[in-house]
This record gives sequence, C-alpha cells and structure tokens, in this order.
Amino acid sequence: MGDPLNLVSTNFVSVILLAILSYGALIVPSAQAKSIGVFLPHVYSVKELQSVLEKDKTLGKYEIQVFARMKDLLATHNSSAFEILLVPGSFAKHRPNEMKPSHTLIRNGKAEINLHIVKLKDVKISNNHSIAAIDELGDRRQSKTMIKSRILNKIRRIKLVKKGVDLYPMLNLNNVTHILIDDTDMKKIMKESEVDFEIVDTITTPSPVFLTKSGRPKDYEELIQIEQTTFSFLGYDKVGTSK
Amino acid sequence: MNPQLFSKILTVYLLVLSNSVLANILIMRPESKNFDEFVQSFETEVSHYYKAEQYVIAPETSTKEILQKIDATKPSLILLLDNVAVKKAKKLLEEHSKLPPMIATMALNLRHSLRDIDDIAGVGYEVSGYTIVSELNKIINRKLRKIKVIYRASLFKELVVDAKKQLKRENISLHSVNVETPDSSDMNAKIKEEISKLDGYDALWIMLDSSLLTKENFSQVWIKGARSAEIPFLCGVEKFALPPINLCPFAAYPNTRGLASHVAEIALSILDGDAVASDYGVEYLTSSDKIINLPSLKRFGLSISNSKLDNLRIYDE
Repeated sequence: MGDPLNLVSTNFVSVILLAILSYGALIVPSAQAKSIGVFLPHVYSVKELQSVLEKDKTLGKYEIQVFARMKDLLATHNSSAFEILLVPGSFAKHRPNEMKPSHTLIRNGKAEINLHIVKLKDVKISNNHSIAAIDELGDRRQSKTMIKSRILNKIRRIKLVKKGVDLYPMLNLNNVTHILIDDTDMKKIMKESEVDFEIVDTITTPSPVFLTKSGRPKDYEELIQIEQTTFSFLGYDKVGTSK
Repeated sequence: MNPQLFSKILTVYLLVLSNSVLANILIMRPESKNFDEFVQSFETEVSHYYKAEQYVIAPETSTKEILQKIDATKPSLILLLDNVAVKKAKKLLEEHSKLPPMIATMALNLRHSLRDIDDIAGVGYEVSGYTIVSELNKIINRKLRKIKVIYRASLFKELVVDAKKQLKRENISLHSVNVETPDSSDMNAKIKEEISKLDGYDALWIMLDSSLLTKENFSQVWIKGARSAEIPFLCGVEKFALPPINLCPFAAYPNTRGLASHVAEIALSILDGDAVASDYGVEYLTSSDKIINLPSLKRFGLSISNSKLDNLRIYDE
C-alpha cells in the first residue's frame, strides 16, 4: 500500500502541471493547420471535390472539410468555427458577422455564374409546375425566398435539394418538372447523359466566395495563389479578390 | 405565499404548459426499431420550425383510437410510416372527409396503393430501376444497355412502366416479363425459366416483391440462378450484395437520412402553405446508398472506373 501523503503530493504536482500546460495551450499559437469549410452548389460528390481541393498547393496547407449540405457546414461552423468558408455567392449576404468576403471564383472574367431553368424535352407539362434547386443558404425559408426572386415567381412550387447531385435524378424521376442548375454542371450532365434537355430560361447569380475572418485580410492573401486548374473542372478560370 | 413556493409552482405550470403544446406533425408508426433512425432524422429536419409527436400503432389499433389521437393532438399534418399506417389512413379517408394532409413513406409499393388517392402524398421506399441501373453505370467501366426484369403486373405495373420511360431517355432498354400466376408453384417455375433465359441482356433487375422472392424459392431459384447466370443481378437490398447471400454484385438501397430530408421538404412545404398534398403524388426516392461486391462484379468482366461517388461502399473480401 502506498503512502497517502505521497499520493496527495503526486496528485498536487499533476494538477499544477496540467494547469501550466492548459495555460500554455491558451497563449501559445496552435501548430494546427488553418481550417476551411467548403460547400459548393455543384453536381460533384464530396469525395470528388475533396480530392481535387487537397491537391492544390495553397489549399493543401489547410485542413479542408467538404460538405454535401450547406446546413451541415453551418452546424459545424457554429460549433467549431472555420478560418475560411468557401460557399455559394448568395450566402455572402447571410454570412456570420465575423466573416467577410475576401476572394471569389471567377468565370469568364466575371464574379458571376449562369443558372439555367431546365426541363426534359419529351415531357409535356400541364399546370403543376415545380422546380428543384439547391438549398444554398442552409435555411429553407431563406433559400426559397431567394430562389423565388431569382426565377421571378414564374414557378409556384419550389423543391429544395440539399445536394447538387440530386438535381438531375429529381428531374428524370419526374419528382419535379424543372431544375435550376449551373451552366457548367448542365454541360457535364449533357455530356454524360443521353437525355434530351430543354433550357427554358437563364439567370445570373454571384459566383462562390471565400469568406474569411474579418480584420485579418493579410492572413488570407495567399488564396489568390490557388492554381487556375484547381477550380477549372467546375468551370472557373481563377480566384480573384472580392470588391 | 412564500415566494420560493410560488416560483416552484410557476415553473411546474410552465413545464406542463410547454409539454401540452399541440403537435404540428403526428408521426404514425409501428413499434419496430427499423423506423427509429428515420424518425430521428426527420425530427431533426423539422424541429427548427414545427413540433412532431410520435404515435405508435399496431395492426389491431382501431380507427376510433386513431381518430381520438388526432382529435387530442390536432396535427396540421400526419406522417404515415409503413404499410400498416397507410392502410389505416386509407380507411380513415373513406369514412371521414375532414382530415389533415398526410404523407406516406417507408411503405412498399406506394405508387400502387395510393394510385387513386390525392390526399396522401408519398415518397416510395423502393429504389427505382432507373436509379439502380444509372448509379451502377456511373461506377463501372462499361454502360449496361439492355436490362431484364421479372415482375407481377397486378401490383408492380406502375413501377415497371415508369422505369421503362426513365431508362429509355438514357437509351437503356428495359424488357419486362410478367410471371404472375394464381398458383405459386407455377410462378416459381416461370421465374426459374425466365432466369435461365438471359442471353442478350446486360443485367437482371430484381424487384422487391415478397411474392417473387420467397423463403421457398430464394435459395433454389434465385441464388442458384444468380450463380449460373452470365450477367449480373441488380438489387435494392444491401444484404443481397453481401456474403453469405451474394445474390447481386450491386445493390442500391434507401439512404435513411436522405429520405428523411426528402419527406421533411414535402412536409414543411405543406405546413408553410407553399403546396398541398395532391401536388406531389408519390415521388421516387433520390438518395440511395450503394454497395459493390467487387469479387462478384469481376466475375462478369466488369471493373470499377469511378469510386468517388458519395454513399458508395466497396466490399472486397
């Protein structure tokens, strides 16, 4: 049996050591990589996006976490904040207070993308029109309001999908009569699929943005060095700075 | 009155009051644990906006009891899980006109059972033939173009007709054979015969039908057939693609979280006043998990060219 006094003193030393180490952890900068949370409103899987982004020299320095749903990204960000968010451009207006747009994806020289309203050519639609669109804001009511204004209330019933990859199946399974889809994604689907589509209308919306922590712009200047090829598969030419 | 006692009474009163707030959504479900994950995901999706309450029913639960529950909770929407709940709801609709809108899911062959009913929206629980074939085509090194399916026309015609249309758009043909007979031994003989006639096809799609896949014929007809077949069988059940069954080298089956999100989107749209149940009909589920049994797949000269699909598991012994 050990000496009780000895035990007490050993525990006391442990507690003091633990306190010193904990204090140290608070004041010494973390050696961990900066984290970036990604949700892009495109038809690629999480695995595909994750592997492409990790190959980029600049982004490779970050801990990248790609999400299939904007709602999940926001939940994770609320519990353990990311340094950077790469999110749909529409989210910039709804961003958390501490985050600010610093960079944007550029397509054809502009910080905007074309979204098409698409239907199946062989399907005759009577009056029950519906459109599937991605929940870009992670909040269904806000997303629906935004989509209604985007399509100028031309289609009454909006169906939100959490994942871009669900858009085209929704159309072919006749769960909806139309989908709202990015131009590059549509080209990808048209290349892979043998279905005849009809583009009914096209609208313009801001391209995805990098939101970074406010007040420390210099910390994120390196984002401009992201290789041009990294986002080319999504139809973006390069990364530019936000105005 | 003692202020501390008053405070305690007030707290208890407020607690009782908050628990007696009427449910917006009444979830009618059987006891089985199979529904727990779905219910949990569904409640997570809707809880920000509406309150849901579960009501466990059994085949013996009477219409009167259900009506009493509806009367007590006054839901704005009823979610029906399983064929038992759907059957009860259909009976209720026959007898009562003023009922809240309903959505059904996790029940088999909803397209057929709700074909004349507008007041119940639904999301089917079978993964469509189109989804099974097109998802596999995204993964493997060559495109399957000619598919065969064996089915019972009296119950599954709607699913087969839809699958034909959906696959045709992708230039994939679906050849269907109705094997329905009044006598089950005759039907088994027909199934066996059709399984032996697979020349010229790229795959056989197996429909989820408990009369086609029975305890009696499973081993002797289906498993034996799959082992001697020169084309892959495609399933909608995970365990059919795994040892010891090894019936199919590929299966696509419902992703519970995705299904809950799909159903919640319909429920919230109805509750928000953006849509009514009759706008929907019975929709196909779009979110599936996939499994490839690699050794079985290789037996048919097929290989994986794209493994980066979400919700894809590759089994390799």
